[in-house]
Amino acid sequence: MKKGFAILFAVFMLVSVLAGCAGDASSTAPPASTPAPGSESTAEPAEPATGGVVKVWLPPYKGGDAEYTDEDFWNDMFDKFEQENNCTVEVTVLPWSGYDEKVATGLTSGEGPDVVYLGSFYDLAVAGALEPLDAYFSAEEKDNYIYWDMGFVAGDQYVLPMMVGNANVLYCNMDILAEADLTEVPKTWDDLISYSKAIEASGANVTYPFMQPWGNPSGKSACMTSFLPYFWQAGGEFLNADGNPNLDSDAGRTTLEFLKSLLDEGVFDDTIVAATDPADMFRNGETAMVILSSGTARSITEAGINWDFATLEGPNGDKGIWVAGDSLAVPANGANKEMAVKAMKYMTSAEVMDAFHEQIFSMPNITKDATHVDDERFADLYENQTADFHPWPFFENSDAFYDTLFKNIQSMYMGDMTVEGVIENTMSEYMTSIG
Amino acid sequence: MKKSKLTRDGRQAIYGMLYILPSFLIIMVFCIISIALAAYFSFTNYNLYNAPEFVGLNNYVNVFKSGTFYAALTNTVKYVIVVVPLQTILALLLAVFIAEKMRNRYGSFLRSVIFIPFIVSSIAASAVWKVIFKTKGGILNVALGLFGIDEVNWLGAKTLAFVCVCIVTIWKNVGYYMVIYYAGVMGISLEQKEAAIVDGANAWQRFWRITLPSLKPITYMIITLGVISSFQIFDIVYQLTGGGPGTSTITLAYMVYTYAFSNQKLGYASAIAMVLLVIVLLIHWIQNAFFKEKE
Repeated sequence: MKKGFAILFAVFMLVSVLAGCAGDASSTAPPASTPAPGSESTAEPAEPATGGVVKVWLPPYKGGDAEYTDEDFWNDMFDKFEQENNCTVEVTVLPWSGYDEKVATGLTSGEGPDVVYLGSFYDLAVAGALEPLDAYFSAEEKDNYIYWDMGFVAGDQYVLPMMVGNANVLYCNMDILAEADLTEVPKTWDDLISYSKAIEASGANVTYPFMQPWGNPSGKSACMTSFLPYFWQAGGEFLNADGNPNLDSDAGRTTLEFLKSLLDEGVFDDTIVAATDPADMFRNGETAMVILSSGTARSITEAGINWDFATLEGPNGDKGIWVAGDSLAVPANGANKEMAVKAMKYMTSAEVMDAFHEQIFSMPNITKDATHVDDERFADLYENQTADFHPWPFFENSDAFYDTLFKNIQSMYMGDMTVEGVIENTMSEYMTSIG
Repeated sequence: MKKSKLTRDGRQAIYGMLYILPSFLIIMVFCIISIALAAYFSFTNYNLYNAPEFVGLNNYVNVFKSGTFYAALTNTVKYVIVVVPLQTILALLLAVFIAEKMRNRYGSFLRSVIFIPFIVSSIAASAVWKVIFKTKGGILNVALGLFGIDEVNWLGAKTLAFVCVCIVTIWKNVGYYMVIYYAGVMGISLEQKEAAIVDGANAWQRFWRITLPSLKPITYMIITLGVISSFQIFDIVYQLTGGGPGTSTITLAYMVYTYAFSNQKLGYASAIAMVLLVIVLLIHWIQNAFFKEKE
């Protein structure tokens, strides 16, 4: 009997974690006072609320060792909001690592945020965990948001796009390229490989001529920068008519074969599956070419790198640039939704976002009345190439899909899987996971 | 004065029950009920946000259809087979060495040093080991480079990544098991050892004939604890390798976490947890039968 208890106690840690998350599902239902989703979408919002505590959860855009952190910024910004609305705003900056898990458990705990920053929100929206926002915004306010429509998922406006349009481009260290007698940035997949070989042959002191983060702790992040753009450049539509990923397609095969060729052609070796931080490597001059967001430009310039950028095109001349679409949302079980929306509007106002883009992380503006000017070198990209922009594709259980795809690509780089194996295993695991 | 109708034995039984009541309640609430809830969720599509709906054996069918599950199961079993014997033998040898050869302040210091990793947070320790094992510019590769040895892709090669997880686990646990063994070695009667010396037994014979048999109950306990904790390996894998590269270090507990919290598939994750529970119970039953037979 004692031994039985010992064993049961031993597995306690494992299963109690799951059991501890059992919440009252009814608590996620919106209260009766909440406007019906989609109703009165053009009506003026009700009388603004004041008072109470608004809890805001965000990830950091500046390193933890920065003198002026995200938390400092938001606390300073909210001082004015707190005075005007006689309320208290509690800002919690959570690390990127495990961010989605912390949010998921926070949303069901009853102690979670009133305003939350989300990268992946499709599953949350479908599950009814997010408050539809349409009724909280006037027609004029909606019109002012450049990317308002990107928050319309699963049949409603569940999120307010906040960090949008941060296009991921190929940065090149022009000094290293010059060592290999290369004066222009690469334009095609073939260029990328030939440039890498030329850099390697020049004896440049780099770890990899071109680097991809296939050791990133987040499979989703790695796929965003190192799989999806190539898929679009291969001419593919990522979701099929059923809304499922279209990996088992010509574009899927072309993309995976190209990724495999990077290893076969010696652009990098199998140590790439342990490589994690492309931005640091590029800033340190350890790699000549890397795909990063346009928002990283300032830190690269500050690191003294002589850089230029390119947008690649695939074998048939197709372009595909992934742009972020991270957003703010209000949990459906939030206690103070009207104040939460008010805080959300304040956070995304021209005044606050201009300051954020100047002081924390430079990105394109999200409202028409904002005045921040991003790096001039990106002007043409944001003015003339937006047709090539692709936002994050939404589909059920996407995090699990990307995690499996990521692990299978790692296996491909270790010689354990073929291109067909990656496609077959990823799709079969995905179809199993969505039941 | 009215005399109590309870006998002495009856009173003692009530006292006994009262003494164990707090522990019993804690175990009931945090263990039995938790297991029962997880078992219930395993038959539902619970996703953290909506009320669970009964889906029959769907989750179990999907678990056994999943290639990742078999990879995780294989890795977990391999991990138990490698880690448990190594950490047990190492703990035993260290305990015997310190108890018999270093009964001085240096021995106490060494004991403390070996025990420290056990009290350090697994996540923090794994983060440090990650820096040590880093392929490009990692401390270990830089050190090896001083001897002209080429860099090793510690966390980027499937076998080496698995070995690294095992090394960190053993480093973390061996101090704890060593302290238990040390207490056992110190409890062995000196007379027995002195008699063996008088009879001409050498150090190896004393270890094999006296020390090891005397430590059998402790060894049984250490192996049991080691097997159970090894089946639950999660934190080191999470921080050090994230289950990769590929699926080379993914374990069942890591899979439970991923499906429960990254993918919000609590029902599916609970089914994996239930399978893990059955495996651990089965292994314990076999282990128990084996040791009983030996006795």
